Amino acid sequence: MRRRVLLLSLLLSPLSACNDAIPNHSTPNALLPTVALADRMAYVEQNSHTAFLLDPASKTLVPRMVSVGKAPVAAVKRNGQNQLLVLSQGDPGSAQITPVAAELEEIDADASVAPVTYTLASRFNGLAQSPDGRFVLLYHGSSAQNSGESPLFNPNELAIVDLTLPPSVATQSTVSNPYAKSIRSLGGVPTGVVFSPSFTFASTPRILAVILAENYVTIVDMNNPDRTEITVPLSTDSNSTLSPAQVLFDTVNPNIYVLAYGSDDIFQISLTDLGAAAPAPPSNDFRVSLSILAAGTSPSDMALYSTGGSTRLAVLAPGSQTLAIIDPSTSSTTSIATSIPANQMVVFNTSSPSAPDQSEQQALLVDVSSGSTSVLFADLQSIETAGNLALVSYPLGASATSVVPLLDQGIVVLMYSQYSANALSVVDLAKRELSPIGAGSGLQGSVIDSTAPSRLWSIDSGAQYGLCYLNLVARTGQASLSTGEIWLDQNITNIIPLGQASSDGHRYLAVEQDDANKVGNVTLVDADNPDRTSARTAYGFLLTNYLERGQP
Amino acid sequence: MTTTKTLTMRATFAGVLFLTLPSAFAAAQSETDSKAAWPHLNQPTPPAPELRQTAPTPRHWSWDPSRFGVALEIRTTWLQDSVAKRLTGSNVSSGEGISLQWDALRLERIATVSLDLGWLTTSTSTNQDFSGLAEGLTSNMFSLGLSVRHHLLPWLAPFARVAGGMGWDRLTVGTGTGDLHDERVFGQGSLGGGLFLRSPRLLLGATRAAPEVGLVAYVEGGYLLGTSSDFTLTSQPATAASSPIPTSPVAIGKVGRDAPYLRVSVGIAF
Repeated sequence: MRRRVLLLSLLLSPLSACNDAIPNHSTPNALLPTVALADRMAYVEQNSHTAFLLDPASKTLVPRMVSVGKAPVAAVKRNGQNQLLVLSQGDPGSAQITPVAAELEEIDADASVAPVTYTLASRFNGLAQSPDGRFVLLYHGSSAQNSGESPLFNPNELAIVDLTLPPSVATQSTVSNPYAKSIRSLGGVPTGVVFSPSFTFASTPRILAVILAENYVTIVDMNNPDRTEITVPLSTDSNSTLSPAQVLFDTVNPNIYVLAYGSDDIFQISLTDLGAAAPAPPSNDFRVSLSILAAGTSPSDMALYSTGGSTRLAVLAPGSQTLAIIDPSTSSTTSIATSIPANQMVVFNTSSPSAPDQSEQQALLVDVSSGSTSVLFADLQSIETAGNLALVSYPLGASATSVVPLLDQGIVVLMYSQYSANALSVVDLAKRELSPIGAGSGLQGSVIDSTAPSRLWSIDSGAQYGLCYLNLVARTGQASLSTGEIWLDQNITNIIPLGQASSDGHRYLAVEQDDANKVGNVTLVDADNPDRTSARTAYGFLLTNYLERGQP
Repeated sequence: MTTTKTLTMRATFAGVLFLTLPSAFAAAQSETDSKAAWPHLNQPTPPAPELRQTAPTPRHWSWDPSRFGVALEIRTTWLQDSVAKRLTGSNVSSGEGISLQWDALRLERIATVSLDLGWLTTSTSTNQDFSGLAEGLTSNMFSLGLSVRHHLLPWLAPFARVAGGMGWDRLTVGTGTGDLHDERVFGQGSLGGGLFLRSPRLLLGATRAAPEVGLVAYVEGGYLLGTSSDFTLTSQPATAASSPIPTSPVAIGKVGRDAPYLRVSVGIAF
C-alpha cells in the first residue's frame, strides 16, 4: 500500500509545478483624455481605435462602442453639439501593411445618428473648431512636427472641414469637404488657431480663423476656404521673436487685436469690407491693414469693452505696472499706474457699490505670477478721466495662481497655491466682497462645475476616497459658500462634471478612480444632489464585449 | 506558445515510448505466459516437456491483466472557437491531468469495460498587443469516462470511450490589484477512440504476494463538446464600507470549447 501511495505521489508531482500567473510584457492600454459630452462621457481607446460613449442614465452602464480611425490622437466635444470629434492619423503602411488614411470622425451621442467620417489627405495632430462648432481646422501642431510618421509632410498644410456639410469632392461650383490648403509660411509653423465670431463682408456672414505662428499670423476665411489666405507679419526685425498669445475680435468695428509675447505693442488688424469693389476670387472681399498700438511694457492680457457707444481696448502691462486704455479709432492711449503688476483681467458689467442702481463696465485686475496679495477693481466707465482714482485695491489672503470667471453668476474664483488656510477666494463682483475659503489638507484635482448654480469639486487629499464640494453660489436649501463631502470606495484621480441632465433627469458627475489597467473605472454621482447611496460605479466598462469584438 | 510546444513534445515522446516498449517486452516474453494470460489468443500447441522439467525459474513478468491504473495525461485540443484561440494565443491548447482507471468488467475473449475518473487542467495566458492587457484562462475539468476495449494482442487494444463531466473556468483580465476576473461552471462531454498499450506486469518482489506493476498508455482522439462560458466581470473594490457602492458587471464575451482533441495518457497499472 505504501508503495502505491509513493508511486501516486511521484506521478502527481509534475502537476504541482504548473503556474497560471500571467506574464505582463505588453504595452499598457492607451486612452485619450476623457471627453465630457453634454450628458455622457466619451473615452477613446487608442490601441483598439474605439470610442466608448457611457451614458450615466443607463441602468446597465454598458457603453456604446463606435470604431474610429486608426491611431486616434485627439478627441474633443464639438462646440454647441452633443457630439464627439475624433482625429486619427491612420497608418502610413509598409510593404506588408496597406496604408490607412487619416480621418476626422463625428460621432453623435444619439446612437440613431450614423457617424460621419471625413477622410483627410494628411496626418494632422492639431484640431481647432469654431465657437459655433461649424468649422474644424486641422493642422500639424508644432510639438510633433513629423506627425503621423509621414516621410514627407508640409507643416503649413491645413484641412478645413465644414461639419454642417457631408464629405464631398470638389465640383465646378463647390470646393471639396474637407478642403486641403497650404498656407504661406514666413519661416514658422502653426502654434495655435483662434476663431472669430461672425463678421459680415459683402453682406454675408464670415468666420475667420487666425492661425498663430512665430512672428506672424495668417487669416483664413473659413466660409471661403479656397480664397487666398492673408499673412500678417508682426515683426520685420529678424532678431526678434514674437509669439502671438491672445487674439480678440471686434465685430462692430471690424478689427482683430493680437497680443504677442516679446513685444510691447498690441497689433491691430483692421478689416475693411470691399463690398462691390472686391476683386474676383480667389482674392478676398475684405482688406486688412496693420496698426501698432503702444501698451506699456510686456503686455500680458487685454480685453475689449464698450463705453458710451465706442469701443475701448484695455491692456494690462505688468512690466510697467500699468493699465492702458486704448481708443482703437484714434490710437490714443490712457495709461494708468497700478499698485500691483496685474497680468490678468476680468471685464464685467454690473452695479458697483458706488452706483448700486446702474450697471457699469468694470474690471478685476489680478496678478497671478508675481505673488501680489491684493487685487484691483477698476471702474472702466470713469478710468480715462479719473485715472488711478478709479482703481480700488482689495487684500487677498494669499497670492492668486489662477482666475476662474463665472460672470453669469456674478462671481470670480481666485485659486491660491494650495495653502491650507487660504485655498481660494470667491469674489462677489457686485458687492466687491472677497470670501476666503480654507482647505484643511489642501485641494487636489479641483474642478469648477460651471453649470449654474456652480460648485467647486475637489479631492480631499487628507482623507482617503473623500470628494468634497463648495457651493460657490446659493442653491435651494443650501447657502452660498457652504460645503459638503461624500465618501467613495476608491482613490479618486479625476472629476468631470457633465453640463446637462441625462435622460433620467439627473445631471451627473463622473469621478474617475485608480485604473492601472486602463479598463475604465468611474463612479457616477448626482452632481446636484451628491449622495453616496445613489452613486454607482462602472469598472471595466472598456472591456465590454472585449473577447468577441476581435482585434483591430 | 512555449508551454504548448513542450507539452506536445512530451506527449509525442510518451507515445513513441509506449508504442515501442510493449513490443520489446512481447518479443522477450515467453509464448507460454502470453497464452496463459490471454487464452482466447492461444493455439493448441502442447508445451515442451523439457521446459517443465527445467523449472523452477522465477517469473519476473506476466501478461496477466491489471485491474487498476493511474495515469498522467496530456490533452491537446485544436480550438475551433475564435475567442478560445485568442485567449490561448494559438489554435492549439494543451492541458495536463491525471486519471484513475478501473477495469470494471472483463468479458473474456471479447472486451474489457473500464471506468475512469480524470482531472484535467488547462492554463493559458496571452498579452494582447492591441489592448495592452494580459488575459489568462484557467480551466479545471473533472470527467467520468466509460470505455470498451478489445485486445488484439496482449499489449495492444483498440478502444472506444465516452466521457462527461463538469468543470470551471477562471478568466483574468489585467494584472496587479486592478485585475478583473470571473469564474464559470461548465459541462462537457467527449466521444473518442484510440489505442490502449500496455507492458507486461513486473513483479516487484520475490514472493507471489509482492505487488505487480505494469505500464499502460492510451492514445485517444475524439471530439469534445461543452457548454460555453459566458464571462461577466465584476470588481468589488476593497472597502471597509458596510454597503459598498454598487459596481455594474461587464459582459466580456463567451468562450466556446467544442474542439477535436488528442489525449495521450501514460501511467501504471496494478
